[in-house]
Amino acid sequence: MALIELIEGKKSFRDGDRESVIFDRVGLTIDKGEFVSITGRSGSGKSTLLHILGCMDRLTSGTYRFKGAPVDGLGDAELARFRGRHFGFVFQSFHLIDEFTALQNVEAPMGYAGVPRRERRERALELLDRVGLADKAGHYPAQLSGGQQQRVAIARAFANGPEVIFADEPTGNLDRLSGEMIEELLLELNRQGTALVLVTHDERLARRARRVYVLEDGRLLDERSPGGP
Amino acid sequence: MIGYIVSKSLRLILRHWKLHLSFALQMAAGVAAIYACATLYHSAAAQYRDMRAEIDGAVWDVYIAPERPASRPPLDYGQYVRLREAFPGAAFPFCIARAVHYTTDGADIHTAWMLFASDDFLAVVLDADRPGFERGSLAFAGDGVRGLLDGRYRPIQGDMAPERFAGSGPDVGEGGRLSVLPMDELGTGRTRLTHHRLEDVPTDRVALLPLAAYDPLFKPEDAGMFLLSVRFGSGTDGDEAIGAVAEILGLLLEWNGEDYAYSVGTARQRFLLSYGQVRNGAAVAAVIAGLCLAIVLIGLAAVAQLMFLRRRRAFAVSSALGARKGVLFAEMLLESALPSFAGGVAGAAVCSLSLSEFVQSVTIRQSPAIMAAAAAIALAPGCLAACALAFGFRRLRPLEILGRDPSWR
Repeated sequence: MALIELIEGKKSFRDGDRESVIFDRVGLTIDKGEFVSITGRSGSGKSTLLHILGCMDRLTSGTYRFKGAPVDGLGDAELARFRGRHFGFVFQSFHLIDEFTALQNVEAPMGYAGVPRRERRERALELLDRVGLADKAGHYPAQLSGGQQQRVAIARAFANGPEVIFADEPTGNLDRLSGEMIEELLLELNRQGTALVLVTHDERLARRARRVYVLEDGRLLDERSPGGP
Repeated sequence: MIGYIVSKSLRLILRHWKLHLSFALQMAAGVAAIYACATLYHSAAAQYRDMRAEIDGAVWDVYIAPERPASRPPLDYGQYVRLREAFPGAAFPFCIARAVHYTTDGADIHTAWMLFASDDFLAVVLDADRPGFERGSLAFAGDGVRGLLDGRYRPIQGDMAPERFAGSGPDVGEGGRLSVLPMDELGTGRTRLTHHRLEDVPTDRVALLPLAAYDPLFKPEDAGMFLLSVRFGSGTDGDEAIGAVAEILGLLLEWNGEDYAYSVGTARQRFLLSYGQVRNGAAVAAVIAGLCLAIVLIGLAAVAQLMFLRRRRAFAVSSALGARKGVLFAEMLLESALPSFAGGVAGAAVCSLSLSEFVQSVTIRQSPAIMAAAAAIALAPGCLAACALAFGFRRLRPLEILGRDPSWR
């Protein structure tokens, strides 16, 4: 059974009397532990598709299934809990909480999931160690470089042991060296069993995915990557 | 989860401690001002209610002031007896107060009060029943005055020389010579005594002397402002009381000619004037303080809202990480309400202690309702800000906020 299934998905916005369609009749599947990339030109709607896959937005029509169960009927609060339990997010601008240290940022999703304090702290330290930032646990985001902030964001994304990581241009704001480090980190974590859905302009990175989707003119084209795992 | 929300909010408060301390201090000042005004108003109103219930409109005051040097006191013992006979349903709780200044060791100066009191005065004011006291030869004196009467303390000057009625003093009508007993023999149990000429004096500086002892000592220069209280029984209605007071005035005019001038008012009016002033002052102050506090509240709420709006992105991220809107609201509420609540409660507590300590003119009565209101006011700006934001965020979708980030376009 596919982990995520999108069937006949449509997303559109009302602009007065006019309907603006972002994409229509889109279908895709993501399997457990799979690495999928979504590419397309700017404004093609790939980020919107990622939001829908990450349950941060809803389809106008169509069906979204997670492990075979439709999630369209979930309310906002249930959806928030669902996101926290199953998904992790990595943003281009890191989106760490400025008032929190690296450790506290990694702890945040576990706090909202009701993980006890002691367990939360141990796991956050372990995750920071995995991304090579155990010594920066007490640093605030402003005291970290862009690459370090993105590594903290990755550790945070993995805090609740998600089944899927959604990453939107995770290397877009980083220099080449930091970008490569983040890229390798994500791929390594994917190899350990977490599905990775990556939105990127970077064709070289996209081609490393097992499956590459291209969003073009509101349609999703499935292109299997020969270089993928 | 609750523990995490609380610890996160406390962390954020500590992180922005300067801002939150400023909120707390402003709330402390504002709530303290409101609390002080409200408590003063409440205390004065309660005190007034008690007094009104006590006198219930049946007590009238006849103010007697000398018009010219008089050859006789405004009310002598004989006249008093005739008033009692003429108005058996009324009591005349009055006394003639005379001050005496004295020194105990030559270096200090004290004031003692000689009160030539009616028996009704003892009964009504001190709750001590001594029938016939006003014509008797028995006096009651506090420690300070006894020292003055037995010559241990030296009189300096005053309305009347104490030697006139000391142990070797004059005959007192049928009662013979005056004998002085300690004040506690009267069994009043009171340590302080209030009279229109006295400002709440301790009883050890007061001597209660029979009214009959005053007449032989009277000198024209002794005549001064005098207040005759007339208390009617509970069965007397207002019209009867007015008629009786008019008759009393007629008798006094007949007895004293034009030596004295008279004015009449109900005791209620006297209390109304004194406590009404306190109440009005407190009410005006409360209104002004309330307006100031309202401005502060709106300002604080606006600042808190701005502070949160700057953190919209953090809320959106938290939402993406699995925080429900209820959780985000609880975080906002705690972070905005805790400092102002703590400040407000601290302000009210300090004010409450200070009022009891420093305000003497009114007996301060702490009211649980005012305390609860102070706490509610202290919570208001935080709740206001959090609710306004919650209303704005009710349709919050992380996408809408994060979508403004270049990486999400």
